[in-house]
Amino acid sequence: MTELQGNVDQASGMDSGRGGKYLTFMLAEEEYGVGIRKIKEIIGMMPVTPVPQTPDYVKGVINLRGKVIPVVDLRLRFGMEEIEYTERTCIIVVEIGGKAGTIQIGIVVDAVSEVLNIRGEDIEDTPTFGAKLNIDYILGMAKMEGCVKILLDIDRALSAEEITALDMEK
Amino acid sequence: MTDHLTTAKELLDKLALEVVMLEPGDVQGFGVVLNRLDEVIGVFTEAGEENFAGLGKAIKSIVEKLLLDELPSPEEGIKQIENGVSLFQEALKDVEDGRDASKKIARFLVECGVSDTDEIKGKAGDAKSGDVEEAGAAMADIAQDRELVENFIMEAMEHLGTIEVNILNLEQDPENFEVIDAIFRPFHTIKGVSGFLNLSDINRLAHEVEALLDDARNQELTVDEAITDLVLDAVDLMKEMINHLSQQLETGTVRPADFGLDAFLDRLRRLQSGEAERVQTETVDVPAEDGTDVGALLIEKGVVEESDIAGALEKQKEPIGKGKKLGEILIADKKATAREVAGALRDQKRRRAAPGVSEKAAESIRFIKVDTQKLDNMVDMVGELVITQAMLGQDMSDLVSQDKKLYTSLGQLRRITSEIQRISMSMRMIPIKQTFQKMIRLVRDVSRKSGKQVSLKMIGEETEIDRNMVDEIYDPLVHMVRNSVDHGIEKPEVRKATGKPETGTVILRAYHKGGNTVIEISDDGMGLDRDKIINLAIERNLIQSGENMSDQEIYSLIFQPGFSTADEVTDVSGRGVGMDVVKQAIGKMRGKLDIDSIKDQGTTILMKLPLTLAIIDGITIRAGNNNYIIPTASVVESLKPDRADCSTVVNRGEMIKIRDNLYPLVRLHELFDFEPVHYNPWEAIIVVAESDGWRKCILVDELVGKQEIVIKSLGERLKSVKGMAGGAILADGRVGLILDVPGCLH
Repeated sequence: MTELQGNVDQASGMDSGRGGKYLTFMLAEEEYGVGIRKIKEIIGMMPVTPVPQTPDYVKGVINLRGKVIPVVDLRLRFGMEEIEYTERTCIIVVEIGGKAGTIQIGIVVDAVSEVLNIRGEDIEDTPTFGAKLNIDYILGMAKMEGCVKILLDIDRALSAEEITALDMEK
Repeated sequence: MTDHLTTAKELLDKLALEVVMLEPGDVQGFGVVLNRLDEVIGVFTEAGEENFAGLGKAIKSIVEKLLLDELPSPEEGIKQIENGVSLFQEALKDVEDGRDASKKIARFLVECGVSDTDEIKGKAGDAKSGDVEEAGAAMADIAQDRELVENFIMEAMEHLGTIEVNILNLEQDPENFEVIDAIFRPFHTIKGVSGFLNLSDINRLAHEVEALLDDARNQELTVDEAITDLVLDAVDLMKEMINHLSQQLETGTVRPADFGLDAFLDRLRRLQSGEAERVQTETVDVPAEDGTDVGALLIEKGVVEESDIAGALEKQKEPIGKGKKLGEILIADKKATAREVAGALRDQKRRRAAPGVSEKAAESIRFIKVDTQKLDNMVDMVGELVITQAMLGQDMSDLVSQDKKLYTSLGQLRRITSEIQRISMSMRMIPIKQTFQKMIRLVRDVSRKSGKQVSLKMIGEETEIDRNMVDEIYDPLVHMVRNSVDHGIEKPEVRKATGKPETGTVILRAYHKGGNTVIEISDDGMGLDRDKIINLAIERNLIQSGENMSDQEIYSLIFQPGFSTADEVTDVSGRGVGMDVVKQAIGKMRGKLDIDSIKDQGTTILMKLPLTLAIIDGITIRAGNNNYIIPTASVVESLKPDRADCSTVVNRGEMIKIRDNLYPLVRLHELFDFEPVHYNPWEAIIVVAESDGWRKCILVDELVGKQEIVIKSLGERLKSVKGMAGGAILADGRVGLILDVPGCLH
């Protein structure tokens, strides 16, 4: 639990736990959520310039109003099947902690759903899946009417160590 | 009657006069009064008379309130100040006559309702209030007025910078009163503000230096080396104090520090008083001047008669008087006193200098300070504006042909955006003047240390360079100027023997040339010793022999690490670090370093820098589906090779022959893993690129165009991508990647 407390600020809200506002989005038929405070903006798909010698989930870089920011395809990041981008494909620009202050990264998702207020008691810890699945970057699971939403610790999901670690495997 | 009372009385008399002249809103007048009050308070604090000091402080606080417009009725406030000053004078009289004045003072303090009356009364009653308490109070002040203190630190540092420059000007031209004034004023400002902020040490120092300069201004003191040295030392000391202050501010702790202020002030005072006598004896043999001028001036002043001058001039022609100056003869004949002649000489000098001087001193451009981050953001947004404007123009192109009004409006928009772009770029540029001026002091110090006479000339100081580059070129420049003085310029004896003027010259020159900013450092010293460099290089295994090497090639050997031609290691240079560091630093800025030297005539070093760090000229190329940018600076040429010129080595390494030279071929699609349009070099285009003397051919599919681009970092995460130097926003709003040519070639 102590570990989770560091992640409280991911969502807005006074709850001492993980409750608060989350932006939810679709990714391969599953619904995910990211704490609203981490979100900078949502933009439509735009031309991405590929950068060589990077892992395949790094789609490249885009021009966000004069700033160059990297874009990560979350499907590829989580080892899901790649699909053609559609009208609904979005880039969510998130702000995560870097070595020198915060940095902005774009994440490609299938479609953005809505902003949800999730109560702390509705969030359950992630069950372990053994060695099959690394769950370090999952904050918890939110039980909503009729479905389960996976809440992401986006800092971890996009952390530099993870990316370099994957790079080495290649 | 004690000494300090006399001084205080004099000060109070002056103060009373100044107070009478006060008018609401007269900021300058208030400033003068504040300074005077500080002097009064200083006198009493030193004498340990707390109640008088307290009275002074009380009056000062009223003045401060007035200054800040905190009093409901300014007229009333001034009245109070007048009362306070006259009470002060009365109280002093009382003390002189042996009566106790503390009651009167206390009554006044209550009357004027000074907020800290209690504190002052407390102090008046108990004069033992310790230093510790004061230090604590000072720190509280600092913390309270944090912003004010921060501003003070910044401004004071700037002031000290101008003072340094002006002091060195003064040394060249000791009689120039405008320069003395230009030094005097910033000290005065520092004094005023530091007093206001209760920074007593700085205040005291500024005050004393100001007094010294005031003497110089009133001609009671001649400016000589001892004085300029002293003022420079004072500047250093004050810098130290200010640094200490800013450290305190950062850490929020009080750490009393001893700067040796008292010892320094002693030295200053000794100089100030001792100098007065020296004036008389020394000025007699002041510079050789044109006789008639001095004569005319003396006549004009009514010191001597025309006949006296005529007589003296006669004497000058006689064997006994030969070689003597007119002034000396006049003094010898008792026709004029030494002081009168000195005065005339000084006048003469001033008249000659007058025309050029006024512009030197009255140079003030209005500036505002802006956070560089804001500036960068603006430049970013302007870049976007330009792109959007271009895209708008393209989207509208069909409509434009039908609509004349739209056509003119779009044209107007284009003009405005490009103008905004130009302005926003120019905002990053600042004149190189400040950087150059820092060299003045350096040259002075180094030449002193090495016992040489060197004068520094600066040309093109108004040349503008990128703000970010200013810091980057400082260290290289210091190295090179040092080298010029320490290694280049010979000792005066040597120079004399070779028929050169004893004073060597170092010239700093800056100008724009063909998309570059060029900075030249040249000296008229001994030049580089070709043979010595060759021998050293052979000794260090850098070359086999000096044969077949051009002068240029040999001279550039000094840019190799660990290479020093100085015979002796001095405290200044000659330790073998230097030129290679310079070369690296310049290379980092994508600049070039050239060296030229003629034996016994001097050395010139050319520093060629790009106009700005942020913008480069790039050639956009297409390879496969990707656009890349190659910095134009590293492109030698581009061509379509003949099939016959392409060959392979051991079936693997590919070579291209261009005009009898073989260059290896680099395939981008292999490096970056993508599908190219053409595999065969004779179908595609090759770009010959150069880096560090290496030349290789890069295979590309198409040359797209040439454009100026703003370099952007790819961000922390993608920084280490090999072969990429960064990204740039292209004309269509997409991101293009900039090839890191050295990375691709090695």
